[in-house]
Amino acid sequence: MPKIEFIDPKVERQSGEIKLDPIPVNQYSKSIEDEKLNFTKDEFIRIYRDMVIIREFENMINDIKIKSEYNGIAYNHPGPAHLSIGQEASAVGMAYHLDAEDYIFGSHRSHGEILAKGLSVINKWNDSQLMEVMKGYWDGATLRPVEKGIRAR
Amino acid sequence: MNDLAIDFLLYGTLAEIFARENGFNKGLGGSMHAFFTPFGVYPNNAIVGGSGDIAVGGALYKKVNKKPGIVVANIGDASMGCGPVWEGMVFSSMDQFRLLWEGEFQGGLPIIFNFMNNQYGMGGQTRGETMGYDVLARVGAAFAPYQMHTERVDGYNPLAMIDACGRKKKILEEKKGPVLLDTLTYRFSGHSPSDASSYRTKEEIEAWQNVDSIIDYGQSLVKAGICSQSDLDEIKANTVGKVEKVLKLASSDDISPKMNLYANPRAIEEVMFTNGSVDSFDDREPEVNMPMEENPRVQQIAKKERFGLKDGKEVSKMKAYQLRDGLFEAIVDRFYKDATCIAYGEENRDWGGAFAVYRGLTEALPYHRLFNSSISEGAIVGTAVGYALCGGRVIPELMYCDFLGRAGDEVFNQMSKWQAMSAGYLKMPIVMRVSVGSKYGAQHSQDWSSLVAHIPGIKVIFPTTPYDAKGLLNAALQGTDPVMVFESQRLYDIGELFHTAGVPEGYYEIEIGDPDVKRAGKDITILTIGSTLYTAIEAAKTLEEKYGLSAEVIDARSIVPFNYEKVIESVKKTGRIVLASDACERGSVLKEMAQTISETAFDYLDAPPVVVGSRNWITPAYELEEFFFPQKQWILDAIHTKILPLEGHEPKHDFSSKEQLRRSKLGV
Ligand SMILES: Cc1ncc(C[n+]2csc(CCOP(=O)(O)OP(=O)(O)O)c2C)c(N)n1
Repeated sequence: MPKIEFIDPKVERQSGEIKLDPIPVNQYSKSIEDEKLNFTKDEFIRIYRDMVIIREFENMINDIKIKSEYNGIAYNHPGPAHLSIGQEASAVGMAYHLDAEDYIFGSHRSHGEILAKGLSVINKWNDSQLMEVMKGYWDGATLRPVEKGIRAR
Repeated sequence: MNDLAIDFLLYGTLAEIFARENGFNKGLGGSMHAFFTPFGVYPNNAIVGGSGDIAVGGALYKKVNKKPGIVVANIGDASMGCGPVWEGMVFSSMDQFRLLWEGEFQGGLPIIFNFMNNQYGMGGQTRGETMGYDVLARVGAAFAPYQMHTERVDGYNPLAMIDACGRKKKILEEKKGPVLLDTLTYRFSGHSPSDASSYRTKEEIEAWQNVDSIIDYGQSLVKAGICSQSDLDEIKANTVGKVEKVLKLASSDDISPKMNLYANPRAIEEVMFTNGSVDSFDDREPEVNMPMEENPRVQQIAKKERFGLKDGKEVSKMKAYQLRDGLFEAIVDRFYKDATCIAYGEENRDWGGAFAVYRGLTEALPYHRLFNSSISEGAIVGTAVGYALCGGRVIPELMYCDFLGRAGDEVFNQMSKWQAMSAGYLKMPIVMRVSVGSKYGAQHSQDWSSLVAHIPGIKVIFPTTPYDAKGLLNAALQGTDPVMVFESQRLYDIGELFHTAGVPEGYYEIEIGDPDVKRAGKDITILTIGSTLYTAIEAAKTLEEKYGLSAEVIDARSIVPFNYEKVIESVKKTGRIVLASDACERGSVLKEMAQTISETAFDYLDAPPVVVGSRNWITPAYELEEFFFPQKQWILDAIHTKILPLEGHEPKHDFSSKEQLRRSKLGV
């Protein structure tokens, strides 16, 4: 109710109609050839790689949930897993231009978005930025096992 | 290094999904709530559409605090049926951002509502069954003349999606948001792995698999001569190796232990609250319109009597420093200390809040720090959650406690949980104000503090004097936890009647959780929550004058946390206790307090603690309220019937056990 907004009955009571602009539906029509102007070879390939990483990650969880096993590695995961197999292009495309200062919030089905966004940021950051964050997070608790690699199980 | 970082990302996510302590959220988030803010991955949400308003709060944080970047809410197509998503979109497209916010703060919120449209809810088909939009993108046209720049993108083509998101990001950077994207996609996987896909045909799944975006895109790269099939195969093989590696790591109990609650039984307890003390969440100078001394409200308060009694008589309402002044002083102080501090709700600006707590703030603050929101209680709280977890301090207000149901999920599942679900990584500095009414009947007169107290993760205070209001609110506004402030409409204009030194002009804090003895006594204790304090004081006077009993009256002031020490000390002395508040008696938190006192001070009690609450009815009209809310007579009757016969007392209300059981049997 800011007083500066005067509501004029003459204007408000005028007859007329609301016009909507057309809403674009699937209008993208470029070919890879066209897009060569916008993407380097590495970028084209990285898009593919990111989709594959998400797909494999989700396939693995699917196997674990259904067969309690993935490529010979057995595990039982009693908790939830809402997978996005099939949706990888959406996640990777959504995240492609985003850096760490861009925030994403998601849903119950967001493993793919976490990975896509993380991969996009990793690609944009330099080594020291990455190392600083990884070393600092929970004092390196998440990083250490990854660095050490696999020891005896 | 990139390789290591990718392993780190996969491992941190998987360990989180497997509830391991090395996970991104120490295993306290899990699959549906995993996130990693250093990469800009903010909370994911198991409540469908939960991010629909929280993400708007993130965008609000960026705008108000001049932070770079945009915000994307990735939510499902079926979440278009959720109120909070609509509220989030309404809130994000309020005209004021473009028209009324000033200077560099002017312009639309930097947010994309990205509907990941896999065309199903769990089993319900959105287009054709559970929604009526035909094409989801249509909805965007409803919110504003610029139609939220809505469009449908073929989310099956990564390049189409990149193209769309690039264009939309630019729109946001030009301050022309919000944006709605209808990202068309499909999941081959079931809703969850146990899903039998009874709601769709095999042919349909196959048809989408036949145009699988990974295969299609890979082939187009090969065809365009960008790489060879063997390059793609190598990527796949490499990936499988990585996934195997992180699975081995994350599934190993040695390498990735779960939180050890045997070794540290308090591990989760310790992250329920962050219990911080923060003057300001940003170094920058707070944006204000004038020095505080020049504010008309501040000047007006300076002339008031800071103690409400003079020669034993109450100072007139006009002259007295009122409870609303105490709230105002704490809030205005924080606005001048912490640049991130903002307040909003319904009729907050210009009007000054329905109960004039904010009178004077409109003059003091630019639009972006104090504004009127749409009538969207869910989004008022939900955006506050997003604002706070991004790093700002925020004071959302619900005009009436009774509207809490409209913000149910935001209070009960969001505001309360993200600190703990982040293992203490995120902070939630929200001071949420609600008022408890009394004159407007059944839907405007309820004390729901017990509902909120039931939910782990929220601090709850209910100040009843100007001194307590200022001190408790200061403490809440200095902290890092969500605090729900209950304010009684009966008390906004009350003066300070207890703290004889008056309400200090300077800053002070009252510890949240510490009850206050408002009247000393030795024969019986009366513990109250909310405005019933004043009824109890009247009862205490009658007990003294008519029955020669000295009553000690304790004002709980806080409900969560609650330190019982003073109450138990009192009970040790008196051996008797009555508990009273305006909340409906069944399930009232007073019952919990009575039970705790019984268990912990049983040896000192001469009689069981007795609770006097409101009837388990609708709140009737003001003219009938004496039949509903606890009255002085009720307290005396309850004492007489259940604790200690008062000589010559003739009870007017039936507090017998028989009556109590009769009512319970009927559920009233
Ligand atoms: C508020 C709420 N209602 C219901 C559910 C149960 N539920 C979980 S996912 C889901 C379907 C959500 O569909 P959509 O938003 O389109 O996302 P999708 O699962 O398709 O990715 C439902 C009904 C829930 N988690 N939260």
